[in-house]
Amino acid sequence: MVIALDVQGLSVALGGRLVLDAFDVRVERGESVAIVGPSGTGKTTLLNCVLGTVRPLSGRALVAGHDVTRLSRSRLARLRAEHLGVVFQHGELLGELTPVENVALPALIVGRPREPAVARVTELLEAFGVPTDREATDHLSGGERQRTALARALVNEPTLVLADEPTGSLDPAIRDRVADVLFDTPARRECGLLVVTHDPFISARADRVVHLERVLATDEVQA
Amino acid sequence: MTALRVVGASLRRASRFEPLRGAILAAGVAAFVLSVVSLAITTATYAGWDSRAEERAGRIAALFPDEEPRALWRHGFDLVDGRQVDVVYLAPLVEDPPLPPGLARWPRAGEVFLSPAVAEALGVSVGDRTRHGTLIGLVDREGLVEHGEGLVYVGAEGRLAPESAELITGFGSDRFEQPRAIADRRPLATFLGVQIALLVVPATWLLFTGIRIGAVQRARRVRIVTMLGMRPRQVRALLWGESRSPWGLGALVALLGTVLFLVVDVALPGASLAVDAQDVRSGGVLVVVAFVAALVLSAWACSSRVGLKAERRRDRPRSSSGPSWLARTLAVARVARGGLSLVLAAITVIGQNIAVGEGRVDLVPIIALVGTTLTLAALPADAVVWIELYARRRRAVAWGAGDAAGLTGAAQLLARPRPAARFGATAAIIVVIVTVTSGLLTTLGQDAAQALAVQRHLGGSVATIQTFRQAGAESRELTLDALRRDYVVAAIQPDGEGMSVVAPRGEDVETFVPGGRPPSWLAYVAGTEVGHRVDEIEDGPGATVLVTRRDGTPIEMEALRDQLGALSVPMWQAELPGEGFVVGTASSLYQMRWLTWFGSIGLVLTLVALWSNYSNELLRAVRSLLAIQMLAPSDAFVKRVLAGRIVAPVAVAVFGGGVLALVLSIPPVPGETMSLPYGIVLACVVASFVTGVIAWSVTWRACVRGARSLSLGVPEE
Repeated sequence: MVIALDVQGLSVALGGRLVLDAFDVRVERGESVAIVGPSGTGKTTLLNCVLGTVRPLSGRALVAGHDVTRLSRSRLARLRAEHLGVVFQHGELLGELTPVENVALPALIVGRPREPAVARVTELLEAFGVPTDREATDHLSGGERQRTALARALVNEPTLVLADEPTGSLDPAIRDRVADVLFDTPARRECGLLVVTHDPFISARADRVVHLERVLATDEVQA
Repeated sequence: MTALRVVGASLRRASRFEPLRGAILAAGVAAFVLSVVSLAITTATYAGWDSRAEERAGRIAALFPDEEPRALWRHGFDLVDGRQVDVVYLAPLVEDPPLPPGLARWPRAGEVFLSPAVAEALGVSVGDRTRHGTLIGLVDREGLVEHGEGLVYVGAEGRLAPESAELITGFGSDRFEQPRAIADRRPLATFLGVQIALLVVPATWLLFTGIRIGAVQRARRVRIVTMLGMRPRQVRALLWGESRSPWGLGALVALLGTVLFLVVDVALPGASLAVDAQDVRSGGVLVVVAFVAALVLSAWACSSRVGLKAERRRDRPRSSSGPSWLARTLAVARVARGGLSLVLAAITVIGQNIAVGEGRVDLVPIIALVGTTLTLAALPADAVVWIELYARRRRAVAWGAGDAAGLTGAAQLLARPRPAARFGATAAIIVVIVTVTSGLLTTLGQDAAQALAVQRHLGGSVATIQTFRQAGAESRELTLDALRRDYVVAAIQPDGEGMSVVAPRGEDVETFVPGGRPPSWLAYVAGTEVGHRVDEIEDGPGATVLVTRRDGTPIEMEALRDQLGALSVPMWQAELPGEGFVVGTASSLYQMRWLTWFGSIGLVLTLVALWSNYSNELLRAVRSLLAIQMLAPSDAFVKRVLAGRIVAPVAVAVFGGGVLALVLSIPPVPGETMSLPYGIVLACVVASFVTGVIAWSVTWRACVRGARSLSLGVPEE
């Protein structure tokens, strides 16, 4: 089994406060892991560290074998493009673009030819039930936007998908549809999935759940 | 309330973009207060000028029959260092003639008093000889309307004939409107109007721009606290707390600026315009009232909800829910709408040509002014259409090529074209104004150059005279009547091929070359050969005044200059390239450097406000690019997106402005050259593009650096 993510002894401080202390977690390809815990326990901070936007005090985070805490900005960007996909809480889609254009952006940025990229994009969006006509993304429903965001995260066939409260702003019916697609992804796309969530319904769908307590405690619950 | 103000201050400090907002808001407050105070300073200064002018004005004996005439007094003009100055000729009629204010003693024949500004310009000191006589002293401050004034007193005893001068009983009169040499001494209402347009309006815009930065987040906070039950007064206290510190900084700067004018004489360099601190202090009450009123207004604006009104998303593309033919028709109409300014410019030029063809040259400036104004008014909306067309095309091309940055920039531009169009339209308007103005100067200069060329061609028997329309028909007639004592006054009128001397009662008509037609409000005297005599004729509209001496002798330019009174005579020895600019017209425009100063300040304020406004837009754009920027190995992606949002629309708008400027620069009179306007247009296009690139470089550094510090979580303001 290939390790998608291996966090070892990660300690992070923000604003003078220790948020994560010697934290460990491992995610394998084809596996989904949910990070849960009260506000202020460092869930989003953990994702930022894996993304490389926050530097830890100590420890390391290996994505597909690469330590993101020690990479230069350009190598980090390349790593993100090749091995990481991110689903943001608020989508962070460009509303002026169509869903096809939004999802294709990561592929175009890394230099992939347009035609095959668009073909892959179309396949993903159709699989997720998102319309592929010329409507602007702003005109999609909340669920469609989140599924579009998930498609964007998968367009470059990443090793690891990070999801930060992916259903936080959705109503229950739409949340269920998005969750179905989200947790189907690791097995279908052979990637790891790390989800940060408050929602116990979402965390229960994961293969494993990791509880973050304030500062120190780490409990692991097998699904 | 104090607690709410403290909360507001805390919110301000917590904002990531507070340094930007604070700086712009402080600048806006300072600019607004100073611009309002400048109106009071102008009013006080004019009052001081008028008061001293009255003290210096000669008391015309005819208006004061009970007083004994004691001196002869004549007012004239001269050119010193390219600038017109007042020349007052004095001759005594009694043993103890009245002394003009500022003079130590009466100037005898061959003696002169100069104002300090004239002495400095001529580089002379007491005892030196000048063109008018020997310098025996400088005019004191109380004898000058303003301390930078150009004034010469000439002792003309024995030279001044009673029939060519005024009998005066003394000095100090409000009953005679003497002409002024300083052409920039416009009526107070005109000056204030220009100040309001060029200073107060841009300063107000800058103030509200500073208020609006971060308006979205602040408006959200206001909505939340209002829903929590906070009353309007409490909300105002909260908003005041957010703005109090930058407002205070701006108020302090404005206070320092106001005190400066109260304490120190301030002169605009290069412009014949000076503000005397004594005058400002005399109008101190008005200045203080203006200062306090402006402070209160700015404080009210900072603490009100006026600046927080949310922008409507008018630019969001709407889904078409109507029939396709309607959508197509609207699309075509929209594209056609983008040509409105071009149509107006074409109508302006055609109208001017029609007016000239119908012999209504006097209508040309009116058509030009109205037409250009309407064209400029239509330009911003047209710029939106041009930019949308460009963005639509760019988006299609970028998508086809797989260009992610080009696609993103074009899509964002298409979604919100107005902010980019606003900036681009301003640059385009500047291009049009500069080009049309330069074209006007070129035309005027060519007329003057033509006159000089004719003068040289025909030798020293003629003189070239320019009359000011502002002098009025009555003044021109008085002057022409004075000329007719010694000179033959004829007229040159355009006849379609050149210019002809028009002489009534069957006199010969002579055709002059080179051709060209002077504007109706300029009259040049160009010559004919000695001996070609014509009787006196009327000076009709659109005619050129021609003068030759009755005795047939060559004209002495200095003597003619002395006689002309309200007219100015160009320097016949001007040899500079484009020498038409030196002659007459350029001299009067040179006097209007105050207008250039105010226009430049207003332009700077406008551009700062525009960029501040646009920076708000760009910060939001960069925030939206965070997710994509994470995938880019360098800042190149964001840079290119911003380039598409800044440089390209500016270039599009400026190019359109350049086209308009070329159209508007087509002269109403065929045959005149256009080289200078084309060169100006090219220079403006290049300058605007370079400005856009520089601005983009500055903005992306700030935006990209800011974006690097952004991370996952709740979206920033």
